[in-house]
Amino acid sequence: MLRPIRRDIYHSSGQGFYVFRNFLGPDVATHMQRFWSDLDPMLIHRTLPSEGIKALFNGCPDYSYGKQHGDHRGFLNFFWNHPADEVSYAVAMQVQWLRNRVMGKAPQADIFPLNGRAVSYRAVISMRGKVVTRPHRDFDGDDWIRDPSKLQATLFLCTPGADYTGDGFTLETNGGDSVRFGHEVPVACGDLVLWRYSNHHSVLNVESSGDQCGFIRLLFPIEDIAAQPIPAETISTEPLPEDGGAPSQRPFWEAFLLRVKATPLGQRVLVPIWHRVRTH
Amino acid sequence: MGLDPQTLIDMALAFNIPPSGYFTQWDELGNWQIDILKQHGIKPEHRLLDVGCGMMRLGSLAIPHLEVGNYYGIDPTGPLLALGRVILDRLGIDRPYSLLQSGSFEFEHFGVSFDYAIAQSVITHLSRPQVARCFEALKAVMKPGGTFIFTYLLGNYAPPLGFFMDGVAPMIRPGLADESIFEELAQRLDFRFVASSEPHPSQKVGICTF
Repeated sequence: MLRPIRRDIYHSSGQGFYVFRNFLGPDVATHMQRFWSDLDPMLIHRTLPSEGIKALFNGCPDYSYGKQHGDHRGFLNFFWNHPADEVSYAVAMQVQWLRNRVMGKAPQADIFPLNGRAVSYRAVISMRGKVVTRPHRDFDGDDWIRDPSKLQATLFLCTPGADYTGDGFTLETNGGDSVRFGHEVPVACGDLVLWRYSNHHSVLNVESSGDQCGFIRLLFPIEDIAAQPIPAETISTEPLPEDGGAPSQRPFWEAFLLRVKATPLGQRVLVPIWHRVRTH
Repeated sequence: MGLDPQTLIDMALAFNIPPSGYFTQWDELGNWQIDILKQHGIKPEHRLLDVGCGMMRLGSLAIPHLEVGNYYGIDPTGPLLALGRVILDRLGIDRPYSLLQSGSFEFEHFGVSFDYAIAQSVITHLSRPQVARCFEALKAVMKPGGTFIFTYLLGNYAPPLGFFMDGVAPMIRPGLADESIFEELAQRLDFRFVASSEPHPSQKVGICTF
């Protein structure tokens, strides 16, 4: 059962993603869409500190950012907390198990921070924005050498075209093409997409009106989790990717290296050599 | 010319084996293995036992270096051995070699004695009784003066830990706070053990002389 899924995601001729259609039944999908859409970020969740995800620690509360009627808002939920929504908790646990199985990890990996990191099931609602998540890669370069299996999951709690318009979630395939979910790849509310984290991805040009719910999805980022709270003055600010999508302020040389690493020559030859030089 | 990481990943997927650092660090660890064997004097006429040979990472370098038929590999996982054969074919390595699928250290099955043996990240996946059985089995097949090179991990708080290898294969980490288990085995089985200072990308290195 896992073989065709892994092939689609990881093979050089594969797409770099796999869509589990109707992963959620209509009742569950509708419930989750309404729950997160209606939830006031200030009601249950604590406001995410300005240090962002660098402030996360074992046992920290669930956090939110953004305003109820703003362009973007999100809810960072952790498995160690009493769930705001029991349904989302149960679904998120299943997604994490499935992702781990596809990646070849133990099913329970990164649910709790036994190794200093844990998943947050993050409900993200984007009503509108030109650059919601700037184009970028995660876990590429040296991180890819250490573990090339890393996947991200996007659980659609909306239907592109019906609930929002615009490009939305865009992903580079393993062959270097760019596909937009809801355009080149049909997706609907309740579909789950597992995709290769190191492939270039973005969320762009989202537009919705007052009677649409916007681009609502559950993401599953693996966060570094400190053992104890970290004094705020010792950490720098870390904006979330979808928090307005501010372009990174990388020096020219670093940005150039990132572009080189992303090429087929970079990934297949230069990065492995660089990894060996660094580790010896 | 070796195979790049993505090509190895593509080949592994045919056997439903997910990507891992095993493929992306293929050259790094394979070269470490063949280099340390050469540093310790392996010559083409010597016989080599590759314990936990897996997908023939070392085999792909050792088989061309050794005289025909002098490479012997053993591993408990069938799909890894099958992939290893495919990788050797892809690399055009058609010299004879011997492989055995076994997880019970049946080194005597090959019916020869060995000048060298190596176990890269194998001891780290065995229980203490399995470590003892591995060394007992080696003692029976290593030539006098033969060399066994292996890697291991130490930890301050190191109880045995069960874990899933690649999310599917149940295994045990022995939980070693120090090298005493190897020293005790060396004394009981009459071989010399040295905790080597040889550098390794991620583990410690032990050298045994039988």
